[in-house]
Amino acid sequence: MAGMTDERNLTLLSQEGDSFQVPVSIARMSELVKTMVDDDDDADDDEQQEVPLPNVKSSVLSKVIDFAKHHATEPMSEIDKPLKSANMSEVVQSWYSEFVDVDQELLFELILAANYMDIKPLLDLTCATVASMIKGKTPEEIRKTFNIVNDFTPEEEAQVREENKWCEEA
Amino acid sequence: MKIHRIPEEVLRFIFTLLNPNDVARSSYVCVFWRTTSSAILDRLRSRSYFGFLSNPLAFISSGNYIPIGIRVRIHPSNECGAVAKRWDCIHEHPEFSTAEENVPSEEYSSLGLHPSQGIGHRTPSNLPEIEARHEVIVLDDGVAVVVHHSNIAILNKELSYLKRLGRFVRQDDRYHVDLVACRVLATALLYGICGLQLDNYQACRLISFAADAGDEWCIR
Repeated sequence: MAGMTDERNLTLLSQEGDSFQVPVSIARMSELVKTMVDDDDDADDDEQQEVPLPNVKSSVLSKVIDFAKHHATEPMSEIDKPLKSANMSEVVQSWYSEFVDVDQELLFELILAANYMDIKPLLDLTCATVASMIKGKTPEEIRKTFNIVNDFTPEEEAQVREENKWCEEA
Repeated sequence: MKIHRIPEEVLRFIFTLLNPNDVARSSYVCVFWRTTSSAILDRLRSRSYFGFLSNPLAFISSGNYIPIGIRVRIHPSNECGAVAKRWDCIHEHPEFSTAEENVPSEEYSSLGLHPSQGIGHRTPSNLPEIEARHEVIVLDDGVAVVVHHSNIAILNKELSYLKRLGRFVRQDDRYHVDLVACRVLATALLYGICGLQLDNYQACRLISFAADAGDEWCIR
């Protein structure tokens, strides 16, 4: 079986029960899947493994697999900290910046999936995208961007302003 | 509020991708963000190995400031002596080297640094000019500290203490302080900026000490 390991497929099962056939070498980008596959190494080689991912919707899992497949051919460049730009096309290669050019609903689903499946490059990318949406914005602009309600009491808000007054002056 | 569905550790990770000012601004967004961003800012501040960032008042009172091993030549064309146009040399102070040896390697890792990239090991060559986005924060008797705009937030506490001590005056859009305060801020910046996971090359871009135009000067 030498050299055959990476040729094998496994089945990822989404929240809805949909099956996604993925090469093991690609699927192992997820530390969660990797652990499950490694734990199941003694299983019959002829039997294709199934990995249930009950927290990941089909639409999201499909994107995650796209990411993993592309990453295998063009690894994502390291993201600088702090972010150098609020424009993701200046932070990562164009394929990746286009990959995260999605609505917020899907973006946050991708973050949750990356976190759950433990895929660091995907978590880096999606979190950097959220950070880019925060970078350089005023608190009000941030609230508007993410539809967040200001739940401070006036006293709490005054306290925060006091804590950050130098930042404000700058 | 989809963003509130992401776990706090993920939000914390997002904040680590931002500069301190953006993190500080995030404190105003809502209570949840304030808790998380405050933790990030506190962590940045607590990354001083000598403890003065957590208690700058005691630090200043003791006079036990840390020598900063940097010598910079101000460009002669700089009329007011406020902005160092280029870095001519970086002096490695022996006390810095000693101090660095005491820094656990895991601390370096957490800062995204390798021990070989420590403060005493920065490369003086090819340092770029100070950019327009750098603010002259401290200027008195020809001594200046140049700070990147985005790093003001990590100096909140230091600036507050210095003002209380009368070592700090804001005038004509510049911050005037005395030499001791300058040392404190400079040291805070050195450690604070390293705590921002910038490498030393980037740190050098953000900090400048300068004496009289054209003169080399070393804080001791």
